[in-house]
Amino acid sequence: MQRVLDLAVAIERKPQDARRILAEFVARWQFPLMDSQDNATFFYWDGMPADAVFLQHWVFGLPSRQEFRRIGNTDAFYLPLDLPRGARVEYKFEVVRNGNGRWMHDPRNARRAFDPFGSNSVCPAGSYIDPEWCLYDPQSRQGEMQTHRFFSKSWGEDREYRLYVPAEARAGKEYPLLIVHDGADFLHYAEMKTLLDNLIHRHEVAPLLVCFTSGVRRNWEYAANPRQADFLKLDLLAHLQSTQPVLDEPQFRGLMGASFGGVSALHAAVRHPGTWGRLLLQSGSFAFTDIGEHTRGPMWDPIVNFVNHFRENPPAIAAKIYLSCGTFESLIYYNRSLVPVFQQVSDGVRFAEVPDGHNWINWRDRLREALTWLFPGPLWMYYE
Amino acid sequence: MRDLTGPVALVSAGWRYDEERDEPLRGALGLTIHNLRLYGAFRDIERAAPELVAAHARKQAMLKAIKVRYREAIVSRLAGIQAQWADRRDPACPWFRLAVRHLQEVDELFLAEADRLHQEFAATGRPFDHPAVQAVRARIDETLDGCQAVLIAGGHVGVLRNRMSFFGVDQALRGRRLIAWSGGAMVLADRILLYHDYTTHGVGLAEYLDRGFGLVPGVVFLPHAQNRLDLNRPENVAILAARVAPLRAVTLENGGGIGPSGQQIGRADAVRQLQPDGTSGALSSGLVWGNDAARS
Repeated sequence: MQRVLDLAVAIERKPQDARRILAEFVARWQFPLMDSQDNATFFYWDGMPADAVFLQHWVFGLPSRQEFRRIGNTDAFYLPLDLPRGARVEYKFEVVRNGNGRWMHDPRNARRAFDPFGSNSVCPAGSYIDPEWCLYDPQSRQGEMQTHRFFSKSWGEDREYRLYVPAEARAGKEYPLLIVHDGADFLHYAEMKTLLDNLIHRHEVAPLLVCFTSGVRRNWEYAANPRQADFLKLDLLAHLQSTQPVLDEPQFRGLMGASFGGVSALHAAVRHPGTWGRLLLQSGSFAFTDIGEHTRGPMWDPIVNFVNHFRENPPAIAAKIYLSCGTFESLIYYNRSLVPVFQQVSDGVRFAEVPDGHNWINWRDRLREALTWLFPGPLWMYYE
Repeated sequence: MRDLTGPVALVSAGWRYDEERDEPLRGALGLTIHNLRLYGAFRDIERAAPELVAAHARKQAMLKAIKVRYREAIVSRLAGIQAQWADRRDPACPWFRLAVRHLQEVDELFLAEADRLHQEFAATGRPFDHPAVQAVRARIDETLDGCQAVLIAGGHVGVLRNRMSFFGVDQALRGRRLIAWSGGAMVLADRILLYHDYTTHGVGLAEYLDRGFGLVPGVVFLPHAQNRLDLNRPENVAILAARVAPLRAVTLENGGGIGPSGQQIGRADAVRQLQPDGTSGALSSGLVWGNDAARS
């Protein structure tokens, strides 16, 4: 913030040199400006006239559209924002010219977070760092990715999945199994193959087979749909049990999903009790109502029905559950509310809430804690 | 070690599937190395003597079940010790010592149960009578007889102990010159303590894996203690030292070790003996075992 104030003073003193001063300013600094560990100042100037600039972000609890302040009579704009410690904010700029707003990435910030809908600029608070365990490590043995197809009775069509086979897999040995909803996205946007290689190589996570499955009519399939629950157990699990060396006890079988994928995982565990002994639920879309109707649209009806029933009479589900949600998400209320419910039916519940949003980097960053909880490796036994 | 001209034998079963990836060690030492291949030999036995391996697996499963109860017992006993320490911060406090004794009783019970299972397996499974095991043991003896020393590497300390014990290598090592590091040093001591204060989910509660082979009597080795133990807190040091007593809790860091007369080798601060008063210091005298060296 101080740097922008100094800039404003410099321009006020020599308004005729404003363009040069601004050019020097943007050449000198990285953006957004971080005045201290966690105070960000967003900045926009492209040398062209602009009516207004807005920050569009996905932080629940803050106005999602915040207007920048103009510096003097220039076309440069700024917006200070305090971030929670360790936070990551994904955002775009909306630049208004001649009454027309256009969304864009922050042109002076190369950091991006990608998702199936495109990408956003990322502002990490100064105390946020990318975890080293999700970055490529040449020391880590590489697991193998296989692609398979099989016929699903539940869906009446072929389904494809990708299978992660750990580097240490050997004939005659059986391994735990984790099935991942939105598998292609977890591989692409959350670097899941890389972090599996690292965490298994470092003995933090047990060598395991990971099946990455993706929905075809995703939101409908994942919205507490009984056919999806049957697909997971009767089709996919049965197929994997007949073709892959998977351990046969529930404590070695896990389901994982984020957002609607979290709903599908929980719903499958409730519909087929005793099948899935490990659940990894990230930013689950666990909307419910205490009274009245929900306002999230008809696609959420089966979810709200399911979660309402689950809260009323929670059945015993997985022995171990890992649950996480970002505090910038509207879903934080639902996820927090479910923690005591899960604790009623499981002795092994871990819940993490973090200053982040509904996005892949948030979900990626929780995976070490989640996987070491659900499938701990033999780190305890290694002295080398 | 500098007097070695080779050949030397290597036990690297703790590396599991990587057991035979010993090229870097060969390169570093410049000696002829005969890898005893215990991990691979056990895999061969799985095919040659499935009934024996099944009996061994049953024993291990029973040990695992006992371990669940052992861990449950540790939780409450350790909480008692910590409460006593928080009250007085005095290792001489009789209540603290009593609480430590309660934990030691739990440790003793577990180790006795483990002994019983091992003895039952030896008596009923009679692994050393099986021809496939005898063939491996004969190969090991022959190899060892042609070597100047035996190197014992670390890795998965449970697998290492298990494979060495299965083939009776612990007996075959007696009277030989031994050079061991990390998990390799742990298995040679009287007892094997597992520990890690910095796991993703917090402090792990230290527990005994099993007895060691007692080839280095009087100690429990704690390799890589700086990375795995929070020794800045005096209560952690005091509790560990008191728990393993009368054995000595001895840390082993990179760059140092202990020679056969108990003399420290290399970096002075690489070997520390934990004291019941919560401090740590140089290794006290009287530690002699006649083998070559233990290192981190």
